[in-house]
Amino acid sequence: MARPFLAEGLEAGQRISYIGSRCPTELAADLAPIGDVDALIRNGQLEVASSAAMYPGQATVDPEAQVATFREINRRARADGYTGYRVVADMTPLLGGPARFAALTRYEHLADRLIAAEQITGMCAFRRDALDEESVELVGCLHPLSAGVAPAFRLYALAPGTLALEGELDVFGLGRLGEALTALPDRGAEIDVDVSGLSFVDHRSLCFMDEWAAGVGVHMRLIGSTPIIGRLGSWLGLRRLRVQEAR
Amino acid sequence: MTSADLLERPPDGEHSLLLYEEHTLGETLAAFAVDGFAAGEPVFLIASADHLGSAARHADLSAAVVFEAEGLLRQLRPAGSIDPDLFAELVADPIRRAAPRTGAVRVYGELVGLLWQEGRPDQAAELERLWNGLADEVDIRLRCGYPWFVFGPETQAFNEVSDLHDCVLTRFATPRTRLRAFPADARSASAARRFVAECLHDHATPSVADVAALLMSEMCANAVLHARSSFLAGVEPLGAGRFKLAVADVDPFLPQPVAPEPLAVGGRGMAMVDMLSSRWGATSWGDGKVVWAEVDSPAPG
Repeated sequence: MARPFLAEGLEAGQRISYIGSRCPTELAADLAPIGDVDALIRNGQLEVASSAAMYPGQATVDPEAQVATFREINRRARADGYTGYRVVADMTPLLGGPARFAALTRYEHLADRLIAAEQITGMCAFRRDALDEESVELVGCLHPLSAGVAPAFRLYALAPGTLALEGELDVFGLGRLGEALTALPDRGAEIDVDVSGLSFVDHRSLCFMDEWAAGVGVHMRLIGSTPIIGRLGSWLGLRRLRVQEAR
Repeated sequence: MTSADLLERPPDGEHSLLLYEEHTLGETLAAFAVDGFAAGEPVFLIASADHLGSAARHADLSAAVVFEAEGLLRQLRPAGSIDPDLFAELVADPIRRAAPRTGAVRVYGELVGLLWQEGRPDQAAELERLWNGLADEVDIRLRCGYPWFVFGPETQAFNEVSDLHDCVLTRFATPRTRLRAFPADARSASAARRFVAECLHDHATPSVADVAALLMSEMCANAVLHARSSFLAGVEPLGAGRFKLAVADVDPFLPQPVAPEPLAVGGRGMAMVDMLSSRWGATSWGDGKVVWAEVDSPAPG
């Protein structure tokens, strides 16, 4: 799965990184079918690294520092004449316990913003057996696309202060929704949520978001709502959640 | 609908699965037989002694060919599984011989329900296939009786067996109703919404489909969260763009509309059902319950 993703980056003239949990030699061997790996490494278009080197100390990820690193890598790639930066990273070493998972969730939000703002494309990989079912759903729902997991809904950052909420959201997803919202970095006073890709939301989820917004002192605006969400929102008398229907 | 209405005027060649309630089965069975007598159809009743006795209290069944189900099942399974040759000899042949030149034979059978209750849904499915084979040769109006609760522990097996029938009938399901069983888990509400969307596809306006999804979702969430029960979801077209949705579970407690705390995440579900539906209700079914709601297109203007 990583190979065609990275090959696409090569064709698009991007600098590419392949960060995995195995040693760099093995990682480079994975990529042999996409070209002369040694030459690509020598000329600086390809970097392979072990995740231990990329995430030093196997500690809790520092979301802001990690995102700053990728921003700098992309800046250099652009300065070196590449069209952008593309990375596949095995994030499994960042797992382990609630605190690390919360940091990872925050990192995913920040990475979304970075990807939305700059010429960066990323694929986060997780070893399936390192995650329980609930965590698989949660990491899945934090990404706009996923393979190996089909989360019921997805919540990811489009830009600072703007989220996208897609899929189906019901009472059974509220635990994940709560974790995903709580990890939002510097959320400000207003959060716009693009719900044009939300095919279903139940009243309990709307109440939950309203309560969450009240609890953290923000206002949320659901943009691109269907008429039924508008109808439900009016009936519920939400305080912190404004439903704005698609025109 | 009364229980007697359930089995009236079955369509030709229909093979239906009846989820019966113990206290109304006698009346249902009697009505089924009497309707057959009136139509001049040979009537075969394969039921437990209790059920036959209870039906006989509602109607004169002396014109019916009667088999005591437990005894017949023992004869059909001399070696632990249904013997197709014995089925042909003991069940299919008498029905073939009784079949009129024109018109149907009417059969009620509980062998499959007994097998299911023994924990052998596989054998029930095998027997259903034998019945379907017979129905290919002879015009039979066949009702297969299963106790109401069989969908509970084995939702997938229930759906497989129900797929061997033209329809599932019960107090809240007519031949027009599409019915599906779902397990008591977090993905079932979503699966039931997809089921509703499939049933309504091309038959409902988007606004009716949106409301139907919310109603079904809420009723399913209650079954999973409160009743902690697997459930049956039903969708019945009522004509003119109206639909009846139903969710039945094994928990007897009926939902009550409650006055919730403002904006409480829970507690407003049935108030929402009341707001969105044209009418709704809840009633006991077997030892569980069914909650239903009707959805209608909003009045123009």
